[in-house]
Amino acid sequence: MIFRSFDFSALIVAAFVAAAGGDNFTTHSQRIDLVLQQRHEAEGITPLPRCNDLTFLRRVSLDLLGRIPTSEEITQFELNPDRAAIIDSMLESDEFERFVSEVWTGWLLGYSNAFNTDRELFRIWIEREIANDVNFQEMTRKIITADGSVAAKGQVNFLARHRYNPAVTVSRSFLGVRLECAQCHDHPFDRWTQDDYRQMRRFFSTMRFSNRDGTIMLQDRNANNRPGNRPTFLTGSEALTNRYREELALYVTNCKPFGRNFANRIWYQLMGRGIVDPPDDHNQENPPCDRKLLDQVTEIAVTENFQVKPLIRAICKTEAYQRQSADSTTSATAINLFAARQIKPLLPEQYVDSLLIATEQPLDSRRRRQMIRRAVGQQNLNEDFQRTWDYRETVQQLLEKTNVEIGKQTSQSAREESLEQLYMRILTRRPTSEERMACQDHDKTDVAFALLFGNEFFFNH
Amino acid sequence: MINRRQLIGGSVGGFFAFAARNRFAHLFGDTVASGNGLAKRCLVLWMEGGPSQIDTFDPKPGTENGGPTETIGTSGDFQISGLLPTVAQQMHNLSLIRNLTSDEGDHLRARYHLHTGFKFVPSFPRPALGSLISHETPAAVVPKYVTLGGSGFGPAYLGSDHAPFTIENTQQARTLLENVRRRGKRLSLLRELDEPFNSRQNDHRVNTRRALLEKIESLAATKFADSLSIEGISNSERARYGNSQFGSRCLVARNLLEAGVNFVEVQLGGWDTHANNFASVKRNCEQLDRPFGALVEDLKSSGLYDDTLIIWMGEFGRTPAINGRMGRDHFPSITPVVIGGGPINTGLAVGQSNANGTQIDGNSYQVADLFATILSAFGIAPDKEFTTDFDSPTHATEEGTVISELLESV
Repeated sequence: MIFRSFDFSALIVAAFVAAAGGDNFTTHSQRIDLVLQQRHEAEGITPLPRCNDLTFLRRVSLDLLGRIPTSEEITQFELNPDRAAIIDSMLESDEFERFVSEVWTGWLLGYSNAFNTDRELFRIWIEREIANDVNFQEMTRKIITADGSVAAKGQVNFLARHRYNPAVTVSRSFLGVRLECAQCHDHPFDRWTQDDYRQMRRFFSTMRFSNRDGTIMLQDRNANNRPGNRPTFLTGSEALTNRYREELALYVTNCKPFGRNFANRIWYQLMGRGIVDPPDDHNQENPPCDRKLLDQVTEIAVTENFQVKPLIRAICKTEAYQRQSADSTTSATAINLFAARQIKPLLPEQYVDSLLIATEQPLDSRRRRQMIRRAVGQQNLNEDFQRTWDYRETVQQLLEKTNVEIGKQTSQSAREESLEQLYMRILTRRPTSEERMACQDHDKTDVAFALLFGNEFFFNH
Repeated sequence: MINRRQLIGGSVGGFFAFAARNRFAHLFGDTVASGNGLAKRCLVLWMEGGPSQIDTFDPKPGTENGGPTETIGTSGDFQISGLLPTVAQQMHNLSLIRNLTSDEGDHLRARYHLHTGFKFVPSFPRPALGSLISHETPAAVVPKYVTLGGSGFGPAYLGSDHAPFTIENTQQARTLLENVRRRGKRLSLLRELDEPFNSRQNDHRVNTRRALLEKIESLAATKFADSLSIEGISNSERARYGNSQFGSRCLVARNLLEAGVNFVEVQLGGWDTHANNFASVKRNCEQLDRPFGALVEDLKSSGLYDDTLIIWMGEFGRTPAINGRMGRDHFPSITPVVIGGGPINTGLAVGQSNANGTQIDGNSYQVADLFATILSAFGIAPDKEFTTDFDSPTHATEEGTVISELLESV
């Protein structure tokens, strides 16, 4: 069901022809919406309508730039609320590249520099690759075949970070396949056997890590095996040469699960839940919520040659992306089938940058990094962040967060500006009449505090 | 080998050994005011860096590997390093494990192993022992798992309610809680203004965070904040704890255990002695000796000892051979542990290393066995089943068996 027969043709020769004429991206988006519409009709689900403009602005700004919009951006957008145009312009900004690199680094490495790795160098590498329009297939190939020093080449840090279990991490990150169970026994509800795991591990058997002058070096020793004795990929195909990692990179990046995983991963990051959800666990017991939808989004990813921006553009321009978020009356099925928007907590980076904007503080990179580490939480630093939208805050973290001084500047502004300005600056919306009443007798600094640390600020909805 | 506890209170031990053998042993827990009941609390003294066993609890005087360390008699059935005279007087309340072995020689991996009982697999996160104890003990208003002086590992699939409350600086933590108390008005306004959003949503994460926000309000009103202070403690009392930072932390740990915290870990760094091992170990032992001894003594006299496990350990032991920089390197093959309190048999040295300390003589135990012993002392079945976030069934420990010298059960 997943894949056994190796099928280059389906992906390498991307034979999908975009509909003649018109804007490709609109077409992509419409195709996605059409698949969903058919499913919703079949299920008798009425999808929620589009969210209002300010909600959309906050949402897309958090998703593409990693922060809430500034007061000026809000004013500009209200003058010209062109959703497609703002998506396009955000995708062309430096902030977009930086933010995507942050999300991906969290996904692929987590938040620490464990095992003498350099997380920030890896992030910078991703940012540059995206800026240079290197596609995800090529980036993955570079990651799997990387060698050299972790301090000199950003991409080496992935395997250095995961050097104790590269096979499991590569399968999970790039194929969405979990081999963890197969480390000790055959997978209980999938086809993976312990032998599959052993074979995958052999692809990394040539890796040698050494510690030179305090930095980790990755090099390969020569493998010298005859055909028939070389490692075999999950598809059953054997490595054709003794350059195992090169061989593996080819197999991984050209098999069907690679495309599906990439499409599903980007979808998950934007939509808050995967078509296969959780996104790192594609297996027979955890099928996509809609097979056609997964095929459609994968097709777009392939047609666009695994470029990040066109896929994100296509998803952001769908109705599905722009719907109102689920409320307490929305059924679980409607949420699962993207008939309502799934809300998601802010990532540490999103939270810190949004807090700095909402409190009108400068974005000092060193202070920002410290704040992000604190927002991740000590006990989470070495944890796995493949499931980007898990909620992990603890009592202590909230205690510390709500204890930051919100700044003289903020208090000053809070007193001078109107309640409406305060709400716009922090929550990107105007206060309701009930809220005006509730705030009447309170100091504005207290109101600012309440808005900054409440749930409405902490979630992207 | 003589087991003092068996000599002194054989029948009591027998009864609880029987109780521990039965899964419903915890039913007896509350009726035990004194005597060797099941543990309800745990205190870990974590020696960050990996403490040298030969220079602390498994000395080899007169051998080439032994170095200059002299030995001292103890109140237990064995000798330890002369650098720990106060601890030596408490050894009838503690036992040594001299035959624990591991193969994790990397700091992070070993730290993880000795904190969770499992090997480090990033995609299969395991809860820290503190999180597990927190999960398995009744709900409380105070945080149930606190670390002092360094961070702890997280709760993995047990959920963020069981994350460690990590305190680097007790004064700071106390100020934090006092600020919350002071800002009570702001928090209630927050609750009011956030309500429309919260009631509109249909998401467990929103509910979790709302509950956490309420929890910080109630936390500020407990005696947790007060127990972070040692201001009221007399100078002579502080002197017993050695007037060091580690000593102050141990005093706070004592307060916390008394305030109802179930798991406290106090960290003492500086044990990664690749160079100048002997000077460093001496300095570390000077910091460790008085607070460690005083803690055991105080827990004993307050009665908390009877249901509090006390564990001293670090990532791994250190090489018996002394390297060219007068240092000792990582040596997981022998990982020293000291344990006592609750139902644990004490005054014993479990297992032994050979004459020059290069390997274990005879029977050895694994880290999983240590964890099976700790959990059993709490009345938690080592093979208790849990389900991970990704729906995989798993157990509380990794197929360990209880160290029979320390705990008669299962």
